[in-house]
Amino acid sequence: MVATHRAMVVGRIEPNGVRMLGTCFILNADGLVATPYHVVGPSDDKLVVIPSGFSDINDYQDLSDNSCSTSPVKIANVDPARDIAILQMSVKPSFPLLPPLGSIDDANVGDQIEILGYPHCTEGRRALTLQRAEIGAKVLLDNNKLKSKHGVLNTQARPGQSGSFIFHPGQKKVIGMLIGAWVPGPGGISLGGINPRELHQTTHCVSAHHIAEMIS
Amino acid sequence: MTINVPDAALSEWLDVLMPYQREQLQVFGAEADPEKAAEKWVSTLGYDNIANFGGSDPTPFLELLKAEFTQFICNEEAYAPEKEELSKHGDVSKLVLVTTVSSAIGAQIGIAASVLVPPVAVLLFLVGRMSINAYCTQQSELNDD
Repeated sequence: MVATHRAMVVGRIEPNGVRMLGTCFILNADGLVATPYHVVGPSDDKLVVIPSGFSDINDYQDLSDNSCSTSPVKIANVDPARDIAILQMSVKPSFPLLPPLGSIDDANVGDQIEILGYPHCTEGRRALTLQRAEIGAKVLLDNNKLKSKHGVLNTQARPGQSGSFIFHPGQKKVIGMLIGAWVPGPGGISLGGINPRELHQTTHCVSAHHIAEMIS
Repeated sequence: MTINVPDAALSEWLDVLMPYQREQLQVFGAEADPEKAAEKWVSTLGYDNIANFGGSDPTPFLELLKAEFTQFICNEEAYAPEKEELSKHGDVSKLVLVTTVSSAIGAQIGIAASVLVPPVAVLLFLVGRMSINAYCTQQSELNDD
């Protein structure tokens, strides 16, 4: 059963409503939530999450309905180098038991995984979307000599999907969090807000054990 | 009003941090140059070859943090309520000192306190090591340059 209740939109309240920043997902019954640091930045002023509001992925989502209920969150912890932020909900969720956090170590290259998030939410579209893909590779990324474990997903991801959780149905664990698309370097061009360099099937997810390290 | 910042080993200050924060500061070279390691911790954002989806690139705040930290330490009139609260308890633990300073500065510059805890721990180590007067004199000379 797809854990629709686990993935949420994270946004910031503005005068005209909520600006959706990306995807986040619930980590535990204490109301801790994970999302990339680049999605929320260092300020939690007016930061909120928007629960999905439905429990069956087969339910129709009315895209013309712009109403939502929000829940305030605060930044509990950050890891800027690995691009992870842990948020604390002010109201603890009451959900069924959630699959535990695992690691990219739990997967084999070629394994099928599920990605649950909100593609294009940064452009105003709030549609919880399930994608299936394969783990294409396991890689280590270096940042000032700090190594991070990543999985490469054979799928194209788009803005809004940062923060989507990666579920391994065989292991029944959340093994990663979607961070973004590989690019050869800075620069490129923008066509209608799209950088063609990002249009490919080389999407990165950070291993969920790096998230677990941040939870006391 | 001034606060008391103990002269303690870097490891004692880093003990207030979570293990992953301590380990990263060590990887960033905290033993050799703690200030540079703290700067790397704050300024490193994600990965060079990963395009960030969603959100927006956070505005750099390192210089703002340093300026406001100097205010806290060196300006006797700044952050009076927080300093008074700290002074009521005599020698407070490093954890209390780090979290109090991080919360106070964070509220002022609009940054979550938890984001500031690791660099503030390092900055307090530097102040404790060189003394408040020496730190403030150094900062004043840097500003005059």
